[in-house]
Amino acid sequence: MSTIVKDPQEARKALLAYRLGDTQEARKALSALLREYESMARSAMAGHALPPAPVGDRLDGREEAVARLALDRASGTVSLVNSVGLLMRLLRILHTLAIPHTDLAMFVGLLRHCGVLPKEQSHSLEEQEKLHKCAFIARAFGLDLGYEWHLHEYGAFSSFLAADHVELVDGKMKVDIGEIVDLMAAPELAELVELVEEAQGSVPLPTAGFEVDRFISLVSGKDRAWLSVASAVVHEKGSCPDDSLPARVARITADCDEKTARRVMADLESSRPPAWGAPPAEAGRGD
Amino acid sequence: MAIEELIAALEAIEPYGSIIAIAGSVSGTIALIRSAAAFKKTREFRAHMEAERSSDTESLAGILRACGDTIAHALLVTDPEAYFRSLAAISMTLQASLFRHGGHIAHDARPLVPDLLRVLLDASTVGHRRSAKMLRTASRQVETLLDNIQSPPADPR
Repeated sequence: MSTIVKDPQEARKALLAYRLGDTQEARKALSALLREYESMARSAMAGHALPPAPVGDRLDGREEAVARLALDRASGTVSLVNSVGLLMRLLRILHTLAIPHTDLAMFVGLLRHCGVLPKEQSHSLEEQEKLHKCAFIARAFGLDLGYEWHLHEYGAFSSFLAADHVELVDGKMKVDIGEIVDLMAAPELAELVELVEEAQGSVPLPTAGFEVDRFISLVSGKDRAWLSVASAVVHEKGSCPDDSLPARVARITADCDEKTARRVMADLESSRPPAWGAPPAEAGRGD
Repeated sequence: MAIEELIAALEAIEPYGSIIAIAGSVSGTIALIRSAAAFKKTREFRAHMEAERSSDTESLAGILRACGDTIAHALLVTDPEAYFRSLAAISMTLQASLFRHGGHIAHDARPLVPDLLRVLLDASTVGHRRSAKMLRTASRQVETLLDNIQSPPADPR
């Protein structure tokens, strides 16, 4: 863990500043800490291995300093054991921030947490296909991961997302959304998390502007074929009047008839994706 | 035809009975020989198609393996020009082979074919470093395709 922060002075500075009540200085120190994580992310992208996430209950000097900071911040209302435990979780979040392609990693973590993707991270056909289709469908629910997309006969696909996903799988980098959600709910650390959020911008939970509940309830339990057709429907939505959309999707998508496309479209409509615009008056490409 | 007329006709051909019998047996033998020949041709054709099918499967597996090796070598190339030449060769070879023998990929894994071709196409539109990252993705996809090679079912007739 000593490789995570080259200069443990930063943590001590944060602790000292905080003890002196200089939150401005503490923020700056935490900001420096987070910048360190960002530079680690860049190193990881350059092919160097990312240090492992903190595990177990052993803390090094820097982590202990941050734990004490949490204890101080909690004004003695929580025990050292609790604050250390919570800090370990916070450190895991900090580690998450250092993972390259954080948004994608968070999204994959979310799908895994909700049971849409298999629990074990792998490069399986199922994981690849479901991830691509879900990431594309999520655009209609307000989450744009910023990839370029291509529609083929088996639904939406992004080469760039595929490359980033391979990097995450090969680097065994994954986000435990459950951990983050639990931490966010911990009142003792609310202020500290707020501090980190202010220093970093925000912890990139894929929730802001993203209709996550509706999205998850739509894609949960759906098979690859359904997701493929749904991604084609989302892609083609707006390119022709809604009446002719199922026929269009059935023509584009392999192993899909008009009836199936109509059923998938009805499922999508019932979940009311906020990004779906009104169909144009005349047929024509909407992209 | 009345029964009397039939009897009269049979009496009329009675002297030629042996000749007719011989002609009948000759034509029957010819038909039998022809049907045996047709049966043999059908078997030969089926054997040919079977050999063709398994050779296509082997050919696809061989090309995927070779492309996997070439990708591994291309990823070690530091000269961008040489790298992109290798990438173009890999793309063309895989594209031709997958278009010709795409039916030899298990149905479940078939979506990977257009995915792989798309990754290779996109890898040729970005810089060397990013392209290499995408080629690593293509390498994983080639491995998955190799694991999912399956000869299409034979004609049941």
